Amino acid sequence: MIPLSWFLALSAVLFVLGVAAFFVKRDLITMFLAVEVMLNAANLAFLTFAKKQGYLAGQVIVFFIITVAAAEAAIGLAIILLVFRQRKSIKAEGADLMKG
Amino acid sequence: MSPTSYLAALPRAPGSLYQKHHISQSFSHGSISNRVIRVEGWHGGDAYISPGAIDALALHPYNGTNKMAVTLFLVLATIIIGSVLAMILSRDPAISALWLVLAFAALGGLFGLLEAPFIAAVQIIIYAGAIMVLFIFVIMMIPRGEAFPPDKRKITLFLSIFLAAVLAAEMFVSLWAVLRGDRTAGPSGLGSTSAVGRLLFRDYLYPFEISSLLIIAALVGSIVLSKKRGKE
Repeated sequence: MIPLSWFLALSAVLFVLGVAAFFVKRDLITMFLAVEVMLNAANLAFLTFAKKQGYLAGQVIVFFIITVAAAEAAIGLAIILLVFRQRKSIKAEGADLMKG
Repeated sequence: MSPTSYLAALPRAPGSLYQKHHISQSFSHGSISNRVIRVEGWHGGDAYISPGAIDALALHPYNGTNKMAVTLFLVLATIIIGSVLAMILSRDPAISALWLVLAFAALGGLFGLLEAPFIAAVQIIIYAGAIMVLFIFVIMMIPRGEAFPPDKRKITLFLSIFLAAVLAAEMFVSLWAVLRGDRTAGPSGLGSTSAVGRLLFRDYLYPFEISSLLIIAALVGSIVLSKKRGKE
């Protein structure tokens, strides 16, 4: 059996990579992709704990997370398209209209 | 079928009760005498095995293929981390998204290792399929800086031929296995489709229905957002 801690370690590494990508990248789409990486890291952790506890609720939660990710992708990409139409750029620096 | 694999093939929903006659073998972390299982903290009665105890007793279905599972984990983890790093390092969002498709597909393999075959299929079909295609769609709608430089085109040609060959080989191998008749039974472990479905449509029915509302809201929202403002 693979130690479940390996899965948790991989999940942690994935999450950190997602956070790093979110801060490093400039364009909105890649930042959004980084959020997806973080969501998947959370999914991996959920499934690991579901296996550890032997209780399926963790897998159902992952199912819901994927649903929410789909909805989020649809809305987020629509917003990115809107930003691109208005500013002709998808750089994150351009969208500072609400900056105080 | 050996007793071990018989026990491993039993449904392992939480609270499931295993009859004494199911168990007729001794294990390393517990002992079975006179067809009574003795696990830590268990006293008499029918043998009740919690899923955790099944892991402790090394009754896991993957137990026989331990080395293979570890190898698979290491390979998949390497692919995942490598492709996420490649996603971070690549400048083109389209290339980033393609690397991420690879990462999510490999992650689906890991989900399979975690006894979640249904979620693994959902991950590959919906995440690596639908959601990432949506990303690539939007990326293609936004004009990008530069296309492939011409010297790279030969590499992409070879790569696409190679990938097509691998895909064809894979399909033929699976087809051959099915036609030869050594198909395996559907997954019967922790996260079998029927178990997940039962939980989803029984205990989590309301969240499930509410999530359909969420999808509708997202659908309407994205249509309204991306609609071109014409004459008002």
